[in-house]
Amino acid sequence: MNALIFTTILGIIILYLGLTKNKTILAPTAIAGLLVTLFLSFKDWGLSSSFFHEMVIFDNFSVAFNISMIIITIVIFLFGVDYYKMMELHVAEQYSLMIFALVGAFLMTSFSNLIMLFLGIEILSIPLYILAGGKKFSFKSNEASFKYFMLGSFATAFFLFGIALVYGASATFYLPEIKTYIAQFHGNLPPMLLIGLLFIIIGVAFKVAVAPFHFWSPDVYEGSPTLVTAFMATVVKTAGFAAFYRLLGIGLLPLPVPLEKALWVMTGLTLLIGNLVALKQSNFKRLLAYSSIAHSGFIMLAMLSQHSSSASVILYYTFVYSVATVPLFIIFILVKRASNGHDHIAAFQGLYKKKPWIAVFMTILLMSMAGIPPTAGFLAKYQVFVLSISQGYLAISIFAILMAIVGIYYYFNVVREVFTDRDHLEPLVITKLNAGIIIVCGVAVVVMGIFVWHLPI
Amino acid sequence: MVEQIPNINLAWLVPAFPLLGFLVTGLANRKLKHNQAGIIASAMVLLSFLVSVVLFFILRASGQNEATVTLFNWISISGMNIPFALLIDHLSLTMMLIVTGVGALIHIYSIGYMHDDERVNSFFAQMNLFTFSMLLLVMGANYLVLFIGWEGVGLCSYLLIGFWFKNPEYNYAARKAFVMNRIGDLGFILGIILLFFTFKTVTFSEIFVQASGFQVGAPVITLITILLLVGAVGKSAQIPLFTWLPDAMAGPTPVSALIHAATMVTAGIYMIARSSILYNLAPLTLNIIIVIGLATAIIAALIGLKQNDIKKVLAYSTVSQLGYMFLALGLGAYSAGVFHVTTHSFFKALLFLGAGSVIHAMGGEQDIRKMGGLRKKMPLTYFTFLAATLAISGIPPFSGFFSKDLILSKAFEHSIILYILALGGALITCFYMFRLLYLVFFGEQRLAGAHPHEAPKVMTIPLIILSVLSVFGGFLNIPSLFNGDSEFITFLQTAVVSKASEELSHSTEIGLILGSLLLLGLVIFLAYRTFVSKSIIPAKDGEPMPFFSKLIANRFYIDEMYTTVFEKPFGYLSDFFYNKVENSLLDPVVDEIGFTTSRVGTLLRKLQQGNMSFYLFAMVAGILLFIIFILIV
Repeated sequence: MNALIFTTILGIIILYLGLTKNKTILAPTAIAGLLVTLFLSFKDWGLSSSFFHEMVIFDNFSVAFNISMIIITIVIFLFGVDYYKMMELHVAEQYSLMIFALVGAFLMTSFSNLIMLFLGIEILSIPLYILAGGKKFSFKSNEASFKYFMLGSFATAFFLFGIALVYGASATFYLPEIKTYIAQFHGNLPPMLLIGLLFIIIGVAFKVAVAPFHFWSPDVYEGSPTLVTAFMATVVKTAGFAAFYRLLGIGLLPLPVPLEKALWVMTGLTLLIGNLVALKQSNFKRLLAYSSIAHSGFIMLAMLSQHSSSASVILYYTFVYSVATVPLFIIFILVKRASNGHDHIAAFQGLYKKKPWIAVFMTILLMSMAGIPPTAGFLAKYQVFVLSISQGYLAISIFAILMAIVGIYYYFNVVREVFTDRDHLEPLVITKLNAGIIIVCGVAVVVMGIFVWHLPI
Repeated sequence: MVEQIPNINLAWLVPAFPLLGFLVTGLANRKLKHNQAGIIASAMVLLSFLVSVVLFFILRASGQNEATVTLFNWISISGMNIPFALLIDHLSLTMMLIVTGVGALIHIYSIGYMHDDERVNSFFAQMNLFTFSMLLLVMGANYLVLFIGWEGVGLCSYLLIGFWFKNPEYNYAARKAFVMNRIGDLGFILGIILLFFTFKTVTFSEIFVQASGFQVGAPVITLITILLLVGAVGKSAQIPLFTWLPDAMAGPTPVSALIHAATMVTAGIYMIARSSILYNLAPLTLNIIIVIGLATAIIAALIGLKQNDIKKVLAYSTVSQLGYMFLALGLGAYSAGVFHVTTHSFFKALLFLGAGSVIHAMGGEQDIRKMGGLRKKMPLTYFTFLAATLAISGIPPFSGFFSKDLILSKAFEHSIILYILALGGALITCFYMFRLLYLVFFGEQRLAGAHPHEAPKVMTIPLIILSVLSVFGGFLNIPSLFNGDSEFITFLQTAVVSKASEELSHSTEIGLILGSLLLLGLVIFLAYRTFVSKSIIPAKDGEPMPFFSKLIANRFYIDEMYTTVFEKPFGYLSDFFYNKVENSLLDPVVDEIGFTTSRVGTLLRKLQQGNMSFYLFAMVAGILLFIIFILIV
């Protein structure tokens, strides 16, 4: 709880620091503040404290996810130093909005009451609607913001409607009580409750871009400022899945059969659409958008294979995925800058000649995304498959493995570009800090691939 | 629960040193200057040797017979738990001391021998990796760790045999060694799988405890032992998988010494000795081993009679000696087999290093018909070579006498025919070894223009140490006949369960020894008369010779037979699969899968038009479909 309150105050402080017109103090202050948050979160480990009549519970699950999101946000902010150098106005707002989104994310990992989940999702989403439109004079950015807002509101409406229906049936917002209420029907739920639960699930599924509610994500990912895209693809996705797991894994699973089947259909569709459409993308941001959809499919698989280790596997998966995704976006931004805003994957051509080490680390990161040993991405997928196979979901596991193989193709399309020569090489400037971020993340991916960790959450 | 022996955990250092050496010499390949790689590599193996000696005394002081050192939990999946553990017992200690001790001498010798090679750094990196793999092989506490070492040894032998890869023939030899070994490895891995399937574990101690629940001759045990035997036959170059070893001479001479004496070929013997409890339950397999071992011993010895390449003679002698070790294993006298491994490692390393010294002196010439008279030019090499020749021929009191005599007496206990055949092989061995000695060191120098000279100290000192070992190594195990108490065999008894056998009476034993000595003396005299007094030089290649000689000189046409029976049909089959199955069937199908996937991607992509009203429509449609779905399911 201290972490949440402190982060909120941090966001306000950063907002007011913007008045000083001194951009250089923003990132250091924000990072220092996040380090404090990190420390406060660590202190919460093992306490499992609850607040507001148990509407929010900071247990190990939420602390672990919060820590992983704080770390990723710090990495994003570290790059922000360079990214926002060109930007004249409203830099403070960028940082503080991301911090506010983080506050929403904290709430999403720790709710025990549907209203808190709703609040969390909205606190997370509204800053993102603004951030997506961060480039005020870019048509695409505005389009992204508008689309995200429209579709997001639509999903929120369904989500709220779902909560209302569930409340109408069960007269409670508390997850444990809803679970006991459902249990008394022995699978034959009244339609009102069933549809209410479906709407709630769809509301969250929209946030994590699960098919067929994924349509917003490629357009929004493409149009948003790239750093915001990186934030969406990592922190927002982690928060979404933490909330999803809290809702289902900790809260409601085992669900009534029809709902569980619906979730399996979503998983299958997500794996299929994410991976197959990614094959055809030549825009790097759209490619990562679809890859992010595909990863959602694998995480869904882990979540639906109900087991005590699911939470740990999801945490490992989202963290490993985020650690690989952020530096990929960073490299992309730098390369794009050097090639006059070219955001085709061909922009990576000649990277190996210009910066061989960056190219090598980029390959490692992409290998992790594709799930090739000895990177952490492999172990993440491996754990998911072990989990789902051990729980007896053989057919969908085989399907997911096939889709993971398809994934290798489009990631290595990028690797191919990295190692393709180009005649005229634009100079590529990479500051020491940025190179450091990329290298640390690359090394982390390999180290986590060798020393796999599990948390008791 | 056995009490943990203090300091036994040092065991991990034994394989760690050569691994470190490999990493340093391998990674700093281009940075290391003259001799540095050789010194580092030798020092690492020497350090492992010292640690092995320390371990020996630690184990001895503890009064226990074995200790397991678990490094980390390697594979842990439901129902399968395989630790990465090392087993320190008398058998593995013996092998460790041989591998590191003889290995260190070979490494030191190589500093001089490989002095002028431009890829000397890679050479030492690979030698260290070889030693590391072999140590893992003999130290592993379960079949899987053993298998890592097993495969590592196979890989390194490939690299080192083909070390001078610019010569296509050498590459061919390397490939042949690798492929032959792979055939054996297949059997071995199937054996491990069957072991796991039967016992649900691959750890030695657990398997051997469970094995006591099986009856003698249980089919599954017989099958396991046969599969493991296939692996051993490949690695230890027995009939029918022995043809790679003579070809493996393509590598630099120290490599041959390493492969033949300290590592690699002894792996099969070690593995069977390690599994002695299983083999005791499979009399059928033991009989197969007797047949294979004896046949290999005699055929290889016969081939050795007509070889004219100094290293080839030694190679066939190795194959033949390995046959004796197999014979010992087949007779259930596993410790005797391991004892022969030990003495053999001394004198065979010495023979190869001596041969290297000769080749070095002759400027790369390996044909013994062109040598001669080196006795005076290289006295040190001569005397050490003589010691090794006496040892391998089994002349008392040289080391080979004790180990070979032990095997012969075991054969005699089993059956007189076995004894006669084995003795025959020993006599042939004696003949071709003295033929080699006389042709190289006696008579006149036949190669004009060569100026043989003694090798530098870095090469001769290992020769001297090895010759001391070859001469006195047999005293490790003095039989009761000579008032000894068979120390070596007793030492191994805790790790290896040999079959009980009746002791021969001392009078019989003395009779046998005197008889064989008489025959050996006769053979040496015969060889002397042929090659020194009459100074007959073996015929040049291509000259007509009697049928039987020709058969032997051409190695019984076994290589040619393999070419016709296996290589050519496989070639045709491979062509067929490539042209018909691969190109016209599999390729198009695989391509089509890719194209279809890609087409589906294009199709799905069309959904994403950027039109928001369509997105909203799709979302609502999705929600409606899901509502219908959950209501009807």
